Amino acid sequence: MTELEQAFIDAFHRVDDLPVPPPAVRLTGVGEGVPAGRRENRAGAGVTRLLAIATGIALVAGVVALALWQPWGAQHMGAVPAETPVRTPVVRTPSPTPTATPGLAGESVWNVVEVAGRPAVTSAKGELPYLEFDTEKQTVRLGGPCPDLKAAYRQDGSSVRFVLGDAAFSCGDREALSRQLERLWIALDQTRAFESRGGVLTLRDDAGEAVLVAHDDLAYAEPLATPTAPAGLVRVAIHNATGRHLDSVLARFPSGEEVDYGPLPAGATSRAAQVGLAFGYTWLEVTSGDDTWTYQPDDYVGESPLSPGAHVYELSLHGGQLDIRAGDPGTPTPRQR
Amino acid sequence: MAPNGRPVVAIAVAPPFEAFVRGHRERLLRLAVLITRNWPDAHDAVQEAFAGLYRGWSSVPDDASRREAYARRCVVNASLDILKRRRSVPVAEPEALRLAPVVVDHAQAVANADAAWRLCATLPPVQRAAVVLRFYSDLGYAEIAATLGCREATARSHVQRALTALRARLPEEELR
Repeated sequence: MTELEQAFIDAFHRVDDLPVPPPAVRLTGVGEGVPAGRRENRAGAGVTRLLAIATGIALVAGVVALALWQPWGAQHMGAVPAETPVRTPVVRTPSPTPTATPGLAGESVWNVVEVAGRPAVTSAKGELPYLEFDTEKQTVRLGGPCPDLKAAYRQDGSSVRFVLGDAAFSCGDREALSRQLERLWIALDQTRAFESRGGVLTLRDDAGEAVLVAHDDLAYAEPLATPTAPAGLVRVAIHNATGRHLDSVLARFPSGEEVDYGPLPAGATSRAAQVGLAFGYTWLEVTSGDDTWTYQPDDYVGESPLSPGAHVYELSLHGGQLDIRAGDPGTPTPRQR
Repeated sequence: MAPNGRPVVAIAVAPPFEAFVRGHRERLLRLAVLITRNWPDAHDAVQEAFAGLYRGWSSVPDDASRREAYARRCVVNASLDILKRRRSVPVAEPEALRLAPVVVDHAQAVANADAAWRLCATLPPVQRAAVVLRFYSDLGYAEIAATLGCREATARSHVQRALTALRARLPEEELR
C-alpha cells in the first residue's frame, strides 16, 4: 500500500463515520407496498403441495396487488408512468409569495449574513461579503474580502434573475472564503425572487426557499440578529502568543460558523468575528511554515458558553502542542465598517 | 426426506426485497455520495437504483455477492447519470464530507487525505467512480471494469492516472 493509495483510502473512509442525513422527501419506504406475490413463503408440512398452492395464490395475488399498487405507488411516490424512470419527487413547502416590494434600488449595498442557511464567514478583519447593485446598468458586484465578481441581473417586480458568467472562486490562500464565494455564486444562480423588508434582503429560489440573506446596515460592535442566530452574539478574536508567525488561522465554532482569521504575526491580535455560540475553546487549524496544528475538542459537555460580548482566544505552544485559552480582550474591539 | 417419507424439495427463496434494501441501503448511499459528492444526489441515485432493482428483482442473481455487485453497479450507473444531467454549476459540497479525524501526529496523512479528496472533485465522473470503487469498495480491476462497463485496462488506467495526479499535486498542497 503506497502513501498515495492510503491517502485515497483515508479520504473516502471518512464518510463511514458520518451520519446519513435523511432524504429531502420522506419516502414511504422502498419495498413497502410490495405486492403480496413477493412475500416470503413459509415452509411447513407438505412443502411441495403447499408450495404449488402458494405459488398459484401468489400469482393471482400478485396480479391483483399490482393493479392496486399502481395508484398507491403513484399517490405516494409521485405519479410516474411505469415506462419512465422513477425519480424521487422533491416536495418543498414554499414560503409565502413575497408581496410587491420596492426594487433593488431601495438600498444599493447589502451585507451578506447568510448563504444557503449558513451564517456568512467573515475575514480576519471581520469583513462580510456584500452585494452592490447598480440599478441603472442592472449589474451587481459581489465584493468583500475576496476579489470582486460581477454579474448582470434582470428584475421584474419581485422576480429577479442573475446572469452569471464564468468565475474563478479563489480568495488567495483563504480556503473557507473561497468556498463561500462559490456558494454565493451558486445562490445567485438559483435566485428567482427577492424581498426587501425592514432592512433585510432575502433572495429566494424557485421553490421559495431563502438562498441568501443580507442586511442594509451592519454594526460590528453591536449584537446582530440573523434568521439563524439570536441577538447577543459573541465576538471572538485570536491572540498569537505562540512566538511564531502564523500563516493561517481557521476556526470552527459550535454554532456552525467557520472563520478564516488569515495570517497573524507573532504577538498580534486579530479582529473579532461574530459567532452565535462559543466556549472556552473551539476547533482550530493553525499553520506556520511547514507545521500545521489542529485543536480538536472532544465535546463541550460541562462547559459554559462564553457570554455575549468580546472575547479573545490566546494561542500558545507547549511542548510542540497547540494550546488555547479564552480570555478578556482588554481593550474593546473597535467598531468596524 | 420428510417425516412422511416424501422427498423434500429444497427451494432457494430469494430474500425479500425489503430486507435487501435495509441491509445495503446505507452502504450504497455512502458509495453514491463519494461519487456524487452531495447527499441529495446520492439519495436520488440510490432511489433510482433500488427502483430499477425492484422492477427486475426476479432476475437479480441469487448469490449474495453477485446480488451486491449488481446493486453496486446500479448505484454507480445511477450516480454517473445524475452527474451527467447536473447543470454545469457545481452543487455546493457539504462541509461535513471534508472533516477529517484529527490526530496531530499524523498531520501529513491528514493533509494527504485532504489533497486526495480535493483531487477527486476535479476528476471526470467515470474516473472518480473508478477511484472510489478501488479505494472505498476495495474492488479489483476486473470488478471495477465490470461495474463501469469498460475494459480492465481502462479501469486500471483511470486509477493510475488519479494516483499520478495526486502525486503531482501533493508537493503543491504541502506548500499551503
